[in-house]
Amino acid sequence: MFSNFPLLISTFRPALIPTRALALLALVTASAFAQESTEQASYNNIYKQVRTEQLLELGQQQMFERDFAGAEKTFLEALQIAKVNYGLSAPQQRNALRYVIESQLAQEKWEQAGRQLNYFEWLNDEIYTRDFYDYLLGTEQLSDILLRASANADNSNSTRYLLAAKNLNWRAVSGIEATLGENHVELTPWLYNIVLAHYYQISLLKRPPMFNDVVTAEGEDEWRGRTLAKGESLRISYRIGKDLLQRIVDIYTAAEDSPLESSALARLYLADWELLFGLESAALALYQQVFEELLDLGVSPARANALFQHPRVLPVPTIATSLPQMEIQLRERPIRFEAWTPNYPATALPKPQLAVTSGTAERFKSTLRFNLVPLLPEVLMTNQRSIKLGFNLRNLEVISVSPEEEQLREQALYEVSLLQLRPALENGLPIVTENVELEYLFAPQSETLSLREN
Amino acid sequence: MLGKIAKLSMLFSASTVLAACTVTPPSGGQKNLTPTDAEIEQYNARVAPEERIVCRLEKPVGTYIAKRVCRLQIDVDSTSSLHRQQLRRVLN
Repeated sequence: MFSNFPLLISTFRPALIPTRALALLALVTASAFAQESTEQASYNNIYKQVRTEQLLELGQQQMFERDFAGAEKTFLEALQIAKVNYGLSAPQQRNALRYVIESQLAQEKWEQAGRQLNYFEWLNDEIYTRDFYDYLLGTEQLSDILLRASANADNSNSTRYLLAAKNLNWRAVSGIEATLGENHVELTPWLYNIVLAHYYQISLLKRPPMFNDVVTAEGEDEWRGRTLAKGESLRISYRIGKDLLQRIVDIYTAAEDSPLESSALARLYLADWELLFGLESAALALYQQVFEELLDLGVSPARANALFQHPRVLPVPTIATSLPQMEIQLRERPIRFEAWTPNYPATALPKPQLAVTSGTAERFKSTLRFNLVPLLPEVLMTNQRSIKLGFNLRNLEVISVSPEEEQLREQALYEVSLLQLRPALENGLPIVTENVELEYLFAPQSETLSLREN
Repeated sequence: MLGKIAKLSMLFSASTVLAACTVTPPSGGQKNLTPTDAEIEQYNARVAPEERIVCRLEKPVGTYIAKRVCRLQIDVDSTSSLHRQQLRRVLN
């Protein structure tokens, strides 16, 4: 309306208009111009990249305040700006897109989040041919989002997201093989991610509802559908995990740039895998081999023993392939276990960005004490029979629990009994460890679930 | 003459046995002729759902010894539905 105003007044004859009115008109015109130019400027500013950063910051603040709908709107706006500024297939969208998905997942908008996840995947595939390392970065981001979605106990599609994350890691492996070669060290974290995904898959079998075999009796026949699937699933996951861990060992054995101890330390995770699947004798032989390999490389017995002097909860979330790296991992005392999600019992939070948000402000935790009693290898050899060793927790007791509730005490005992630990080793042999203290942080959503039950 | 023939046939059979010994069997035997679970999973992650492969242990008719067989998922599904249709036709 104001844009035509100056033209209108110029057609008037000045003599017909009093001077005061003219002055007033001039003032109004000037202010109209000023307003128009501000609007123009603000229109230009809408798509300034700096606004994306401001919006992302605002959105994160809204997420923190649990205003997920507001955050989604803010992040979508930031995404739009990135699209306008850089183009539809530009990697700069990923940051905003990641947050959009997170805000939608927080609102349990599974369908919308699914669509955005597909868009993220399409975008990442577009980047593959342009910049391979950027594609890997995007793949890692997307894999994290999918894992986080799979960890959400309220998500009915959680298993689907887990499988999607695993497939994404496989595609990254195929990409690295094609670009960098089949024995490149860059493969190892991706291969280990797939191993962990298989562990999450089998941990689904530990979920309380999965314990109940659904038995359908039709006449005299009994159908135990889940038993077969469970066994098959376990065997396949075991074989794949073992193959991949052996491949990691082989890659480090052939790698020239890696520290000498890399292949020996990688073998440790292979031993852990055997232990996780109840193959204790194979695990013990491998632990012994790791210890001897380290000594052969010139590592002092004291330093090698120090690596194994405390039990560790398995599987270890990140692979360490150098002595200093592993020593850093072992510094934490007492053993701290941060449960990830009720979806995957006895599974530690792999990395902070995969934590699921909880409705409760307080984090429930407990400190427990136990003895870890492995039966010694001599027992294995009696009567030439293979006897299951069983690295058992004995005298498990709760020292403290916060908040102090009897039900939580029982929950802590149950959840810790599901954990699998690498025993302490001395000269490569398992030893009894007494009074092991473990700080156990309950999974965020299990707190919500127990509150709901109450 | 007969003795000569007998000697020749013995020589032939001996050489056949020796030749059989020198034949190199496929490395790894039957077990390694099918792809590993990891290879299948990696392949399946790259292809469309209809191109996915499934491997399973099957017991062929006439033996209790299971054999690992790999097929396309789409073939397994279509064979199963064909068999169901045929069974339904026979029963009706």
